[in-house]
Amino acid sequence: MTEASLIVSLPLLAAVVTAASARVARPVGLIATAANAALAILLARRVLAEGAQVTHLGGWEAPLGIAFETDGLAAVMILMAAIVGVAVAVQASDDRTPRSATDPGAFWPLWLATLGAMNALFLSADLFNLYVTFEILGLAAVGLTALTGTRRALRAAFDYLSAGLAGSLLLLLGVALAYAAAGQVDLSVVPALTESAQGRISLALIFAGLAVKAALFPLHFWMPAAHSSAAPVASALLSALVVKAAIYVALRLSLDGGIGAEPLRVAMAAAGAGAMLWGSWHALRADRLKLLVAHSTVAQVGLISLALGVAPGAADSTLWHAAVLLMLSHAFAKAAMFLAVGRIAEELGHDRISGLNREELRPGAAEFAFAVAAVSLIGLPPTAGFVGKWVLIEGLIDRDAWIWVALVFAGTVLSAAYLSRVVSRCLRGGPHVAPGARRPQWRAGDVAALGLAVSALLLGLGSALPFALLEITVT
Amino acid sequence: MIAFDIVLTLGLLACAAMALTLRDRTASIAAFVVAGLLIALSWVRLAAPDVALAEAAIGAGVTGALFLRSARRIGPITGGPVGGMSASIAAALGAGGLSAALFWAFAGTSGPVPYPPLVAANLEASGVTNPVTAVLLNFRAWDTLLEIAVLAVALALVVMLGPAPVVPRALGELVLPFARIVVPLAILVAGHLLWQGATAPGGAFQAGAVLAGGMLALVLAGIGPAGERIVRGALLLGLAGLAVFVGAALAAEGLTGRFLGYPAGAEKAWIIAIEASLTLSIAATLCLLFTGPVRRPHQ
Repeated sequence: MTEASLIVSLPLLAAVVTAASARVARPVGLIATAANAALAILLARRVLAEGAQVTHLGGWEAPLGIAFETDGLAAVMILMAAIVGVAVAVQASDDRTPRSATDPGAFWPLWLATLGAMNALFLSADLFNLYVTFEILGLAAVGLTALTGTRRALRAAFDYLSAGLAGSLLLLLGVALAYAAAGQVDLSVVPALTESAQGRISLALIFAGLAVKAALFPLHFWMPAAHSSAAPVASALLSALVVKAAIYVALRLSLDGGIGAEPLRVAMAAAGAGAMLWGSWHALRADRLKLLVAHSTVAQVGLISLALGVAPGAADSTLWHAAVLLMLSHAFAKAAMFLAVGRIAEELGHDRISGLNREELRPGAAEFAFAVAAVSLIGLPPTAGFVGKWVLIEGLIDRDAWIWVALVFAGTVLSAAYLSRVVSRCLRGGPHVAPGARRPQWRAGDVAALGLAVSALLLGLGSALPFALLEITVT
Repeated sequence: MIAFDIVLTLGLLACAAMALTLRDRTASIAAFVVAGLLIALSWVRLAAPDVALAEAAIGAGVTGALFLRSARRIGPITGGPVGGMSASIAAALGAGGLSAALFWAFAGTSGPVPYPPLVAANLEASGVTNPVTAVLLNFRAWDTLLEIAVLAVALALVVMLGPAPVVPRALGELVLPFARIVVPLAILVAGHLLWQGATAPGGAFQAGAVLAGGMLALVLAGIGPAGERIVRGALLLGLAGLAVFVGAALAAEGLTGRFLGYPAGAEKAWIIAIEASLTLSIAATLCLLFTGPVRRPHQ
C-alpha cells in the first residue's frame, strides 16, 4: 500500500465509522486525524527523497483511467490540511466546545469526509475527478455550516448550498465542454484547451465555478454569512481549508495552461485586487469579531488570487511559490484566528468588537493567539506571511509591476488597520481592567489556537522546506 | 423520427415551463416528474440508455418523491413570484444567453473524440462487456467511489439535521394489494438490472433506485421501517456501500499492488460483488433520504 492510496482511503473509512456510531465518533475521529497527519509526513518525505510520483489508479493509464500526481505542490497542500486538521480536531474533542445541538457527534463524519475529499483533490490529475471531489467537499461544508443548528446557521447553510450548486454547475459545464472539445479530461489536456475557442470557454466556465467556491470577489456574496454563523471549529475548516481547495485547482490549471491561460490570470489578479479592497473595507466596518475575521478571509483570498494572477505560469516559479506560501500562512493563521475567536466569544458570552474592552476579565491565551495570527496575516517578520509577501513583492519589483506592488501594500496597510481594531483592545491594561479581574481558564481550544498561530510564525523561519518541496514537479 | 423528436422537445419545454410557473406545488412537481421522464426518453433518442434509466429512476422518480415530501412540509405557495417581473425577464435573458453560448460551443466541437475507441480497445481486459459499466466500475472506478462518498455525506447530513420522520397516513384499501405486486417486482427488476449491468444497460445506481422505490411502497403502505432498530439497520446498510468500496480498493491493492486494480481474470466477480453491495446501500440511502432517520435523543 502506498501513502497516496491510504491517505485518501483512511479518512473516508473513518467517516463511515463515525457516521455509523456517535459513541465512538470522537476517539475514531481523533485517531484518524492523527494517522492522516503521520501519512502526510511520510508522503512528503517520499516526495523529497524519490521525487514526484504518478500512480495510475487500477493500472489504467490516463486518459483511459485516472492518475494521482504526487508532486511537491500536492504534498505541501496535504501537509497543510493535515496540520490544520489536527488543531481543529483537538478543539472539537473538547466536550465543552459548543457544537451541534441536535447531534453532538455530527462534526466528525463531516470533517473526515472533508479531509478525504481534500486529499483526493490535491492528488487528482483529472478534471472530472476534481469535480467529484468538489461535490463531497461542498456537501460536507454545508453540513459544517449548519452544525450549530441555529436558524441563522441553517439560513447561511442554505445560501451556501445554493451558491455551491451554482459553482458546481459551472464547473460541470466547463468539464463537459472540455470533453466535447478535446475528448479527454485528464489535466494533460489543459494546454490543448487554451488553443481553441471552445476550450477557452470551457476553462473560463471552470474558473468561474472555482471563483464561486473560493469566494473570490465579486462572487463572495455567500461567504461572510456562512463563515461567521458556523461553529468555531467549522468556520476554521471552511475558511482555512475549503476555500483553498478551489484556489489550489485554479493554480494547477494556471500552471498547466501556460501562456494560454494568461487572460484568466489577468481576471484573477483584477478580482483579487477588488477582493482585497472590498473585504478590508467591510472588515474595518464589521461590528462582530467573527464577521471581521470572515471578511478578512475575503481580503486574504484576494491577495492570494492576485499573487496567482501575476505569476506567469510554470516557467518562472518565484511568484507562484510566493502564492503557495501565502496560502499556507493564511490557512494556519486564519484557522488559529477562528479557534481563538471561538474561545473569546465563549469566555465573554458575545463577540461584539466594542465589548472587548472589559473590566472583569483579563485577556487570556486566546487573545494572545489572535494577536500572533494577526502578525502573520499582516505579514510582519518572521512569519510565513512575511516571507510570502516579501517574495511576492520582490518578484513584482523585478517585473516593474509597480501598480500591483502598490495594491499589495495597500492591502497590507488595510489588514493592519482592521486587525488592530481587535488587538489594540486586548492590549489595553491599566484603568480598563479591574485589579481583581479573573483570567480565563486554559482549554483545549486555547492550545489548538496557540499551536496554529505559532506554526504560522515558525513556518516563516522554516520556509525553506515548502520551497524545497515546491521545486519537485512531475517531469 | 424527426416529428417524434420535435414533439418530445416541445413537450419537454412545456413541462419545464409548467414546473416553473404553476402556483400549486403538487402540480408543479408533477410537471417536473413528467419533464424528467421526457428527458429520459430524450436520452434514449440520443442512444444513451444507461443515462435514460438513471434519469427515469433517480431524476424523475426519487427526486420527485423527495420534492413531494418537502412540499408537504413547507406548505402551499404564498406571495407573488420572487423578485417580480423584471427578475424573471433578467433570469430568462441570462439563461437564454448561456444556452445560446453553450449551443454554439458544443455545436463547434466536431473533432474526433478519442475516449470511446480507447474504451473499446480495452473492454476485453475490463471483465465486463457493457462499456458504461467498464468505465464506471473499472477504468474510472475512483470517480464512482467518490460519488458513493457523496451519497454517504448526504445521508450523514440528513441524520444530523434530523428532519421529522414521515408518518404514512392510511391510503385506502388498494395500497396493500398494490404493494404486494410492486415490492416483489421491484426486487426482481433490481436484481435483473444489477446482473444485466455487466453486459447491457443497467447497474448499481439504476437497480438501487428501483429497489428504493419498492422499499418506499412498503413504507407508504405502513408495513415498512417502523421500529428504530430497522431504521438504524437501514442507516448502517446505507453507509456500508462506501466502506465496502474503499475496502475492496485497498484489498485489490494488497493483491495486485494497484489501488482499485482488480486481480486478472476475476474482474467480473469483483465488479458484480461491489455493485451488489452498492445496490443495497444506494437503495437504503435513497429510502432514508425520503423517510428521514429517527431523531437521536437530545443530550
